[in-house]
Amino acid sequence: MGAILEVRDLRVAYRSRGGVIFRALDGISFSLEPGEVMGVLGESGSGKSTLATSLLRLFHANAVDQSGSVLFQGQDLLQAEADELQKIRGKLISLIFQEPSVALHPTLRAGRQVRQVLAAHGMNCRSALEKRTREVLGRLFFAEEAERIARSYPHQLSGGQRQRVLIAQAIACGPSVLIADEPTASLDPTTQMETLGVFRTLRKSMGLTMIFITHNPALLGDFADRVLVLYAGRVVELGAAQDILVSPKHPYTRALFQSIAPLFDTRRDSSKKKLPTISGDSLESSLPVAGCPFEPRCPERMEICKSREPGLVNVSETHTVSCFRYESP
Amino acid sequence: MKTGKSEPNMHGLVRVENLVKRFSKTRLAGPNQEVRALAGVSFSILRGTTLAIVGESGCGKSTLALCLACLERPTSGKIWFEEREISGLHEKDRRVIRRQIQLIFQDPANSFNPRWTVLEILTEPLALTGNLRGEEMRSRAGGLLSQVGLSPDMQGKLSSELSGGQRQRLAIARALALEPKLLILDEALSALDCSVQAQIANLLMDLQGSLKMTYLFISHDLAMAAYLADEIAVMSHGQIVEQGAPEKILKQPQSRITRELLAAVPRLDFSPHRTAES
Repeated sequence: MGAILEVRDLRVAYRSRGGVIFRALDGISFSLEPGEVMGVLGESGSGKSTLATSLLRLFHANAVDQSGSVLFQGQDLLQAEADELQKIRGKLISLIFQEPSVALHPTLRAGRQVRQVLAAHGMNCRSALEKRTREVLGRLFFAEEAERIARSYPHQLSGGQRQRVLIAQAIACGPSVLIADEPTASLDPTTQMETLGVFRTLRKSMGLTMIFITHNPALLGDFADRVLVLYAGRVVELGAAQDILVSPKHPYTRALFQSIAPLFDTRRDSSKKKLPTISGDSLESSLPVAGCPFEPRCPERMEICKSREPGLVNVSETHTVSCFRYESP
Repeated sequence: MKTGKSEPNMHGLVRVENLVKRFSKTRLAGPNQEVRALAGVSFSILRGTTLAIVGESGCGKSTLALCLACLERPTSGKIWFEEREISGLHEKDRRVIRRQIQLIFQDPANSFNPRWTVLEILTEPLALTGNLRGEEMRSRAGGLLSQVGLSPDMQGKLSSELSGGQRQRLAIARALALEPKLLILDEALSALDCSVQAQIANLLMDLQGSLKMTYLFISHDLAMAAYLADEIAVMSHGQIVEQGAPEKILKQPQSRITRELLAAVPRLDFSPHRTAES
């Protein structure tokens, strides 16, 4: 089976107001098999949102340099004609953003916003639009609820309901790839779990290929097939979800996992126990010019890390990591 | 930790008794609808400790924070702060109390003026209340920054140039400027990345150690609440449904809502705990 989406050496750079060039994505490569769920793990500033939008060639106005290729069913989206691309966006590849309260139009009813997506992709028969909208909302809400949701304005809906409306828009045209950028970040924990459940169900029922972007490794648990760890716009670790989540290899991934508050290990038995953290500030501050981008914060840094950037090393058939620790001498 | 009826508690900093807050929702047509955000909440917080209030969105946690911070008046019930009843005070006196109770919100980006420098942000509370001179204020600002682990050369930066973690540190520094006795953290960690959450949680614990701070930690994250708090109160529909030590809440949850919140804490699924259980 061939890859449905293949990203090769994707690079995106932004020019800040001060004129400084910031490389948001610095040579990303990966491929997705049909039906696969890829979890992308990254913190703010790691380039994960740039990755989400770049796959559909939605670049920010201050993007100065884009290169590489995004092959969707063999076609390079970065080179495609604009109208060609417009047919793919939202129809074959959909994107779900983080903040449903911002992504929805505040003065249009939810049902109409789903219909607009269908209409934009060529469905123009009124009864067909109605029928398909009802069908799509029916997949995401209980039947008795769906009617009311369709008639509601976004402000009348809860955060979880709004997120489902966004999902409805994304799946309305029956896409083959779904990219979700922190889709549960603004939800409270029980709603977050429900929404994750929705993604699981859709994946099964529609056979969706998904890129699920999050900063929280715990959400990827029994959901993602593979995990890509992003740091400073580079892939620092990529492999089967079980490999990475059970035995992370890169010092960054390991430190990230340790910094999550454990649920059954409360402190204050006698002394204050601190959470392990990654030293230094998050990666928005300036990066080293040469060498590994994680080197300044890395607890396991070596001499070589300062001067050279590590390449990807295979630690197993399904697991690669970008760290000199794993390079055979 | 609950104390007797109206006996002043020797070590209690805050005591809340049967707090009720109703809001009336104005509608375009028909009668106004009444929403009961708090339906009789009672608790107390000892000096130098942390009480965590945990619950889902809409359970009344934030209303509770606003009532305690003297930003909303409760419909009924009493709030004692240092053995003084503060909910019925005159506006003038409440203003004085507000200095001693500071709030930190979820999104640090929204709590600053993006056009102000770090120095302006930090000295505003000092300028509003104190009689410090320019030079004194600057050195105080420097001291506050190092207290929260920020570099003093950051003073000239705009708040919009800071990262999320740096901004939340700045919010803490600003709250500390007036040497408050109680810090209310309303979802103060929820918008941050996991690794940054851990850094800020550690900072809060350090500050509590060195300044003997008292915290009211409001969150929907039961794991972080258990980590930071001496006691957890679980809220649902404006009421505290369960209250106790973190270990007790985590290991023997009594109410349905606590069990739901526990089940919703995302965990690395292959963790030894989970595998041992299943």
